[in-house]
Amino acid sequence: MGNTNPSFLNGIPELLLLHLLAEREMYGYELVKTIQARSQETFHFGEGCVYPILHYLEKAKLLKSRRRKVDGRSRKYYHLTAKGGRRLAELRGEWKAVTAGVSTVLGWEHA
Amino acid sequence: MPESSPLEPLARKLLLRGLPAAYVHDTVRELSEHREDLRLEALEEGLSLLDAEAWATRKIGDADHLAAALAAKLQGSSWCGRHPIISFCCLPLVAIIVWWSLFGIVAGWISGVWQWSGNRSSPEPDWPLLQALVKWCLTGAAAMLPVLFCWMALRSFSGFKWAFIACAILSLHHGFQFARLTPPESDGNAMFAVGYSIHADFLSHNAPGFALPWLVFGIFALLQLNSKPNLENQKL
Repeated sequence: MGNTNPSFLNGIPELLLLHLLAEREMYGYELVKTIQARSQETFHFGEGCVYPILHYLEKAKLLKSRRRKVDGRSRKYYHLTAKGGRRLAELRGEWKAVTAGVSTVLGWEHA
Repeated sequence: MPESSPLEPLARKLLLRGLPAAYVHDTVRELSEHREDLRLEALEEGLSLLDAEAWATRKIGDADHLAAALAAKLQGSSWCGRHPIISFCCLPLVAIIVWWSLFGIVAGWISGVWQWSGNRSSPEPDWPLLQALVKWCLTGAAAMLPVLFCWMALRSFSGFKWAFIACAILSLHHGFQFARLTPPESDGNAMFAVGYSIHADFLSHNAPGFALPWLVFGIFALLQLNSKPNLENQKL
């Protein structure tokens, strides 16, 4: 097996964060709440765990951040860069391929 | 650093891992804001003030785990961080070669030795100046290259471990390295010798080269560990 799917194995949090930030800019707490709400609380994690990923994505220039004051409170908002958009498209493609493959193996393709 | 800040242990752990103080400050600020949102959420759900504080801290996650995740993720975001053996074990040796090459070009030009070696009828190079430059280059390399690698470790989020290893390599190199320039004598040829040696007077010849990289590392570690991210204004 020549190629593995590193993005599939390691990139799920990246995919989720990039996908949400493609919709609109958000801050850390907002991102966590959105993931929990949309996944119907499927994921359980220490909420601080999003920051290593956000900071990594920012260092990799896939995200940019800016401080904004909302309702008297300063927040760090993240938004997607053009490079981040390209990475998101890549990750979506990989995710589709992998889930299609898994579904085929499990015999769910006609479900 | 105020003892009362619930994120103080995280800040301390990040600094101990050798992450830049400015980054630690920003991260702790961001996490404080998140924790405050959690605390308000808990209060809205009817928890007591104390319970809400404890719940918010618990929801943020374990400080050890978070510090390790932040350090690992960021280290992976730079080339030096992803290739620490090349960056902090091999590159110091390359840097020494580059340093001496640059020195050769600059010192040769300043002292006039290049012009003289090409045309012996041109004015004599300034030999005492060149000898002083050789000494300066030796000492300068022992002081400046560790600064460069400590800075690289900081910038690449690689932490103290790799700064320590680079300084150890540089210390061993500079401890034993010698460079000597002998002006031309009766045969008209100057001699430049560079290599490794253990001098009979170890303390005055080898020890400074050993000590300088460690001194730089000590100052770097001390500055880093004494950085105090301002958590006072993080208490929202």
